[in-house]
Amino acid sequence: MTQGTIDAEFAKICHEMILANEIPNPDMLDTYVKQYPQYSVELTDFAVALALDVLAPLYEEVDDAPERATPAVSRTMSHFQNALFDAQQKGDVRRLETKQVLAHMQNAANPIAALSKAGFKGFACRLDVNSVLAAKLRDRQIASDTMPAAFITMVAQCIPEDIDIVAAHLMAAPDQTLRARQFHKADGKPGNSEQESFEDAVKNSGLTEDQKRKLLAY
Amino acid sequence: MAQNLVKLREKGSKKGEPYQRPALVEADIDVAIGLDDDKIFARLSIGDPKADGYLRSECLVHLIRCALKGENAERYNRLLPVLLKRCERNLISKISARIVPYAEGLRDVILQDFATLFVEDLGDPDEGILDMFECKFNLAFSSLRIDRFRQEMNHFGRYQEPSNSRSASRGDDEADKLARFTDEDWLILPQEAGVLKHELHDAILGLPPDVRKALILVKFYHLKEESSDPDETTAAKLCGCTGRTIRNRLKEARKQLAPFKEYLKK
Repeated sequence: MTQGTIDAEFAKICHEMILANEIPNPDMLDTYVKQYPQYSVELTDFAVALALDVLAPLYEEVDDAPERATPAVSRTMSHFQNALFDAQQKGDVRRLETKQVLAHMQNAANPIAALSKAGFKGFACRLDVNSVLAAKLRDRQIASDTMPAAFITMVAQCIPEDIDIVAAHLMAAPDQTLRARQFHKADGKPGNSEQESFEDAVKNSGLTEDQKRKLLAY
Repeated sequence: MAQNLVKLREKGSKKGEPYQRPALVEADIDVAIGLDDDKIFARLSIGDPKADGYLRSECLVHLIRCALKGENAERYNRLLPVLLKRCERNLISKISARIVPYAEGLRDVILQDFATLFVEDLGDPDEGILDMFECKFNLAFSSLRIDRFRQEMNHFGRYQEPSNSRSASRGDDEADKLARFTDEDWLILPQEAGVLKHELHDAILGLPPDVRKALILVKFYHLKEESSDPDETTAAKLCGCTGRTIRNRLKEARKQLAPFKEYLKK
């Protein structure tokens, strides 16, 4: 997938074109291509994509739970917070309270923390792990990119919770508040430096040899 | 109560004309800006755009900009996810895994592009990057989405062939036969929103990029294939090729879309 930056000048021209012509038409294309000949190729491609977009079948429905965040929204919020943090570090924007930013980096729903004490115990039992490893999963102390997909699926089944929600939870930043009940101001950008790899977490959580073998076989 | 910390640029557009919010949006903002957090947050649960108290997306953009500027983290962290979810629903309807194999990743990229605009806007308020989103949100977001989609089309060219395409099942010979209808028989693409059947839309997306471009320019935008007038904008000119090449591409499009000709007839 391309990761090119948006050409602000071109983006503005596209905005103008689309705002002025809700339904694309021949005059629109002709006018803009003549007005901005340096973008004639891009404008033509944009017009083609716009036509395809207009012609696409419509879907309209009311959102029953507009405030319920989806995994994609959680991921985007995390991206937004990182971008905001970076901008603050560079002095591009006025400094906000770091702890406010950090607090909201943990916004992804945590389906394990939502379990009752008995529910948490049952979850660990079904997953066949001890409470130490279960707590590491709850507190996002294991780097999600080192976890086998089959293991994440099993975690979702053992909670039980939707796989997307569990994946979003595991991918979110480590939950400091749940882990250590300590509040502190970070000196740097929030990262995954405190996370263990899946393999290390399995080896360092006091599991039995049989449990370790099963987990590492995922 | 929030302060109205954001004003639209006076010379917002490329032509130096000011952007103007529609009256309904202005009225929405006037009310919303005076509400405290609890009242605003309560209105976030209204998901029906026709219901009283529904916060228009344009209004949400304004409130988020004000919250960022006023350093009200709680407010922008509650408002932005609601707006992003609306955007995501729009993206799901427009960029489906049926036609783009990595649809979810592409949707994420567009959502993140959009969220980043708020950070850029905060860093450079004079640029007014988000002004257009306060005027006509859906169109402005469409522009962002389509521009990214255009980049992807250029990068990958052709999307996956519809797996159940009828041309595949009928074979080339039959497609050739079906292609032998005259130019008058097959339609100029309608300029109405949302009118194409899934199968046809998928088939057009599955065309080779040059063929698809020629088809849209001639059959949707009604451009001439070529012209003796050097000042006239034609499909050949925009595609950087001859009129004959355009006609060959149209012929190819006709052949590939022949199984869907009933959707194309007037």
